[in-house]
Amino acid sequence: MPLSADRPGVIAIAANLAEVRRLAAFLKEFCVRAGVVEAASLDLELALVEAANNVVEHGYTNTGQGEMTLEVSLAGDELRLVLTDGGSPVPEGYFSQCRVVDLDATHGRGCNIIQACVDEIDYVSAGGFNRLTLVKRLQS
Amino acid sequence: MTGNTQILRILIQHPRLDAAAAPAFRDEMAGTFANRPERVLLDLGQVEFIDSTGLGVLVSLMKQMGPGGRIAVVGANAAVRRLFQITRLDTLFVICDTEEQADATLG
Repeated sequence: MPLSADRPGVIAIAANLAEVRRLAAFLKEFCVRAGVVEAASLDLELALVEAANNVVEHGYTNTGQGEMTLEVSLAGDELRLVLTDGGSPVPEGYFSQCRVVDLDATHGRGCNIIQACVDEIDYVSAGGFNRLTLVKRLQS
Repeated sequence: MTGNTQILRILIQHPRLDAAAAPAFRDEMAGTFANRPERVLLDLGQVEFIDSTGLGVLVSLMKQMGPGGRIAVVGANAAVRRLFQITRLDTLFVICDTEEQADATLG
């Protein structure tokens, strides 16, 4: 079914870093079809890529095993990303309390980037699945 | 490298400097930065997107340069500039609009 901004878009990928590019391309196409302004689309892409990289590298410890699913939807002025995976969950509070990163650090910026790029973050781990919801208000 | 100005010019040819591309990019740069250049102009004109892993490689390259090393960036698109701004790395790297500005900055 062609991707349309009128209904949620869903894509499943294998949990590896190369596949994360397909998630980003899927999101960008959705944003174009929905008429999302470029600045918001860029922020969503940054947040999504960091979240998906985190799943690959930490949830599945870079094994190349497992998969993740992205659902993209637009309701009013809210664009919502729901990323679901079956890997190991992040520690409690990970997304709400990002650690401070030194300016010359070479790792550890992902959480801060996600926080800076979206308006709401919700993370639930239950029943063997993790669900990260990122919401960006397009009028903000 | 332009020998008279001692500025090493590097054109990055990865359209996406992300976690998937970072290991190869790090390997490509290893020999160049082993010589500890003092002034580097990074041309990101062909780079459409950078994530935190790609950014981490750029930071590690700067750290290899030693205390006096400076990197100026040119050709950064809106996505790349946004990432530098979010991470405050626009205070560590000099983001320039033109090569002339970068040359002047690196002096």
